[in-house]
Amino acid sequence: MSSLKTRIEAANDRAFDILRGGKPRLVGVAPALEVVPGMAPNLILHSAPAIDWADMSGPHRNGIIGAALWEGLAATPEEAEAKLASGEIRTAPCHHHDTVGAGAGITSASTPMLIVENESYGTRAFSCISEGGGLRLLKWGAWSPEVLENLTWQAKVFAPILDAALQASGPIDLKLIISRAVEMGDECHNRSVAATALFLRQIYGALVALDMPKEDVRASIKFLVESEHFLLHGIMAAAKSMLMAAEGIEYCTLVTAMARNGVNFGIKVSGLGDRWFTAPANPVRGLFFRAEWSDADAAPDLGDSSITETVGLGGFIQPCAPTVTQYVQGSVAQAIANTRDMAEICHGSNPDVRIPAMDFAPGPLGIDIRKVVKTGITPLLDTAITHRDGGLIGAGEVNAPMGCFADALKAFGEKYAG
Amino acid sequence: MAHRVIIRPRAYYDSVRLMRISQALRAEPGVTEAMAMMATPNNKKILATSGLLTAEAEAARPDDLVLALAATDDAAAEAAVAVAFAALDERAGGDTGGAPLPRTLDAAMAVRPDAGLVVISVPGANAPREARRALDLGLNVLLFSDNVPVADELALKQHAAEVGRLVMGPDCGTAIIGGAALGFANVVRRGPVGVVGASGTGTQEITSLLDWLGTGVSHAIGTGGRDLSAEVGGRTALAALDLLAADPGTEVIVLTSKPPAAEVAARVLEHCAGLGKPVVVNFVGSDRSGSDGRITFAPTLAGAAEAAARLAGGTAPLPALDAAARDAFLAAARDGRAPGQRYLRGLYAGGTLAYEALTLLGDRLGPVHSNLAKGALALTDPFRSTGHTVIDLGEDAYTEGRAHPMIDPYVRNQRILAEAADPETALLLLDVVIGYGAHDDPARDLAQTLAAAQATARDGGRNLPVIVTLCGTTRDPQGHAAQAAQLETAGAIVARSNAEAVALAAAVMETPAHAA
Amino acid sequence: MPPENPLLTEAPVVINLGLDLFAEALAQQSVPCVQVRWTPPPPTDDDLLTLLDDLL
Repeated sequence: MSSLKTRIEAANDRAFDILRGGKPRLVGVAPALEVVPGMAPNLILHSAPAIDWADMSGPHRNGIIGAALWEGLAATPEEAEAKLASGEIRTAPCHHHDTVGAGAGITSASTPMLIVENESYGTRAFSCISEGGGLRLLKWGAWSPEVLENLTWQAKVFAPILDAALQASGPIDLKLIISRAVEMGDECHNRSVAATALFLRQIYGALVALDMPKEDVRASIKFLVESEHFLLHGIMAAAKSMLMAAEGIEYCTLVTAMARNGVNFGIKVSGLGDRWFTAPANPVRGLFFRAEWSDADAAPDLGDSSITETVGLGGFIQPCAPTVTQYVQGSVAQAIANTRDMAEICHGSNPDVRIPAMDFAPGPLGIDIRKVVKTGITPLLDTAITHRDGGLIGAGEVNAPMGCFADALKAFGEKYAG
Repeated sequence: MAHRVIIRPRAYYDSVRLMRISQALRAEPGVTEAMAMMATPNNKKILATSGLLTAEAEAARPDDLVLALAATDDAAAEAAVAVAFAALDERAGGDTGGAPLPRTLDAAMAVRPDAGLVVISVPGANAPREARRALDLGLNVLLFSDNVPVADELALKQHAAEVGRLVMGPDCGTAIIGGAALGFANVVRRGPVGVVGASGTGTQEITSLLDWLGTGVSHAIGTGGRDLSAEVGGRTALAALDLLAADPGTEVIVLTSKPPAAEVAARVLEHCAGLGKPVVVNFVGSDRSGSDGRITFAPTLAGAAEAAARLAGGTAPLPALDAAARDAFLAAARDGRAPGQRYLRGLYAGGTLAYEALTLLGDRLGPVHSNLAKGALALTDPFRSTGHTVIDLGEDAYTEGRAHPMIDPYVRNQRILAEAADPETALLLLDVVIGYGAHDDPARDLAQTLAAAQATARDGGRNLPVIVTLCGTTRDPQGHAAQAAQLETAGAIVARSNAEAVALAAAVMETPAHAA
Repeated sequence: MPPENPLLTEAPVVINLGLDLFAEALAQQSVPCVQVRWTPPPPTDDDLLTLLDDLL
């Protein structure tokens, strides 16, 4: 083996060990301005990769306008648009601030953030709190007075209560929850019901014992119980904290981020620094929640939630969640085949994520851009389908486009094989 | 008229599968034309000639699938589209325990780590890389793909020698390894004769006749048509001869090929002489015969099979037509012939069978035109016969956008009808090759066409004698007897070997017609 | 010396990369065969494939 190949293998082994050894824990909740690095009062974050305001898709534009109104940065949507166009209100990808956002990923200064710490490597990552269930939420690029009221309630009432409960309970081990949830019907992207239930079990005792206004605690518990997929955002932050520790390893060809902004799909590669490699996002294949919606209404693939696939969850372990395969009229056999495909583009497998339907085989982990280009197999993501003008309208799956992997490999060749 | 042109973006299907689907669609009620093809520039041209190249199809990329069809009305078109989608979505078989299929060679190896052989029939541009990977995984390779550059062939074969593996091909259509029929091959009894074949139908003819002779085959190893060229130097043939020489189940070896480059022929013959087992050599188109004790030369494929059977101790005669049936056919052909009917028309699906017919007939009848001939006897228009003509319909000029005529008989059927309408046509000489890989029921299809052809000739006041050489065995999926019966019902005489068919054809043409 | 070739000594177990037809024929013969759901590699970019040979 050439020394270049040897170096790549060694670097990938190291990155893989870092991913495997990550120990993400949910440690608290706080407003973005207080904890997110580089956060500013006039800054609104969105799902990556980077994109100019003028080029953004409908869900991003609507979500950002909604956040500007909520923050009081503008009084009307028109004013918000003007200030966004002039740069008075700034936008940036969540990823550039150690943050990941589901859907449109809308995060502003007052947004309450889940704080996840990777105990093994000291990295910290953030994600906004789930807005609960519903098709029209800010994260889907839809807002209304009710949506903004709910955000205010989350920031003022729910977040302090959840933080207090977390301080009382102590950090909650998300790695352990993920390991158990994947054996309970979650793939931890389109389905995180089991993970959320496991989380509730741990936090419930601390919540009910809080010395805080009873009505507020009761409302908070009611909200948590009604939010089936509440922990997804925590899992996303956990994934980000694990991947941050594997960034910037020279010669490493493993992917450290995948994200979609409704226009482009972007990836980052450990050995290639902070650069995004992008290609047009693919349309999502899936099921629409109402007959009135069809492919024509759907925005292209959107959101930072593909961070879950980047750590080998979601579309990489579809057989863990047979219910989710129904979105694409799939079958468990097809899901298993999909996981085998993903194993072909991964560096190794993760004994902490077992797939019951495959005799508890460990799930694939660590996407290697070399293998993606070689096999022609691109990562498979479970994902939501967003309306062009905002709002959640369906769920399904989508393959990453090949172009960004090919570009990354070329850049890798220029940097290391030159 | 209703048209449907549907694009499936980035959906790859192999060309044979698509052609089979197209063929099946054309048989659907009300469908007048149907094509399922990848949107390559070439295929777009084919769509354009059928008036089905819509703007959307024009814009499609080579890795997009185009389904285009014309039907008598909307209902028929919709029904055909549904049939097409069902056929496209049908999953191919494979031994993965009902699970979906692996997508790469490496993944397939993970499913069957005990695999020893890979059959590669992906497009020629992609084939060398896959073959190289297969060799590195320790696999022997049967490379069916054509359009592989000779430099790649040479590199693959050199690498194969280094790792102790064999590359059969490129353009290798037939092999029988350990009793498994690979590619286009017949169900042949196991026996003591090993075959090394540079051509597919040549190997099929010899192995099938060895079955009829009761002797049987140990293994048949294909080399690819270019192996014995000066550039490649017979690397696979030499390695295959060594494998058979070392194989305890092989007592006699047959080598068949078009005449190789002179220096390669010398090297291969020298190698044959040193194998320690008797070798029968058939250089198709060469009339060399005789034996030096170690090497026996046979001028025909049938002769090679017979010589090998004798060397292996077999005493049964080659299968042959009943003499009475033969004489009756000759008499009828002669008595029914009109004065203008002067020429033989040989329409072959099997390339080597065509080449053998061409050379044997040339010896007997004088000039025979062919798409396989060079110089003055080369056909100027591959779609028009002139004088005595023998064509190989498996050549590129006839297969554009279609499967090989052994799978898709459409082009030959059209040609048969054209020859029947030609007042100069005196005799049709055809082949039918059965076995794995071939058409499910080629005789049924051919019989229908022959009925129409006979009617055409009759309307023109002519007869149309037809000789078919039927290559295959009794245990082939199509069944030799059932195929022969259908052809005989359609008025054809069914020869048991190509050499016999050609001899009979020559006899017909050499017999002067009665004055009308 | 290259390793000995087991082609003629081991019972055939086949991988089929390409035409389904051949896998179907082997299935009819009860010869173990794995069909690969092969698709053409998306980059027709030869430089990239050559680069891959250096990197993987």
